[in-house]
Amino acid sequence: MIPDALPKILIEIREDAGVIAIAGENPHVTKARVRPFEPGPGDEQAGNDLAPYRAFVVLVQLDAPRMARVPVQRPRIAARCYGRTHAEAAALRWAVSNSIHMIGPRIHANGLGIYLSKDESGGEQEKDVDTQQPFQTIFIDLFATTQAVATGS
Amino acid sequence: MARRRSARVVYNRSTHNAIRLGLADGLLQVAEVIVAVADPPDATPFGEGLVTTGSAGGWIDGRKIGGRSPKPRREIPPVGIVAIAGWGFPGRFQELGTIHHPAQPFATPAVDAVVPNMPSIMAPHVRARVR
Repeated sequence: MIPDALPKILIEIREDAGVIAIAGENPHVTKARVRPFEPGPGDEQAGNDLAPYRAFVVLVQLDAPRMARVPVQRPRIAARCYGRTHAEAAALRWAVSNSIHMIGPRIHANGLGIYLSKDESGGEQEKDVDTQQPFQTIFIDLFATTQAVATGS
Repeated sequence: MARRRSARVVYNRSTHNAIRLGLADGLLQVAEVIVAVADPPDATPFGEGLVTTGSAGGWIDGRKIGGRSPKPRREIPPVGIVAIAGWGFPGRFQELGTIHHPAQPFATPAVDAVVPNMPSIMAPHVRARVR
């Protein structure tokens, strides 16, 4: 079985203290609102007094080509970082970036090895076309294994 | 949304040396292949053909040398060879998603499918200029 990189990156971002500080789920802020593919229940808000915006992150895997002769995949992930304001969206974008950018090789419990993860580009100020909530998008490049890797003793 | 090529556009091909023109033509060909390979989803509410209007363009030192693409909003670097493949404005919503619309990436997979074949796509254009 080929390990999927997106869930592991999601966990790394979700458990980062900087991301939790901005997008932590109330009342227990030990976990941040970091969602795969699409927003979770309650993330989307109208942005008025009755339903103010919430900060959250949506990770979308754009593709994950594998290299032909070595057991390596190169997933590309877009992280849409929504904030209550443009400033908070920018802060969340940098928190997400800091949580994964060049943090070094690591092997997850399922054997997925991530050699490299980096914030490749992005950071434009944008508004969601439907709710007008401010957000910024960054693109994350990974070098990861396509096979389970044994941890050294 | 891509616009038709304006009659006012004047290509500055004669001012560039042959090798750079060959490289630029090769890169433009790569961009055009990316547009051809991509399969953008075109379902409502983003449909009505807007996303399928992909096009490519090539520039040398900020001057256009070919392609149907209009000048992008971002400035073309004044020095160097640039080729751009792009789609109509709603394409970004399809590619990256919105709060209400899940992402349906089509551009990134096309780029990753074509880029490994860049040498073979560019070679005829470069060879034709070098000989």
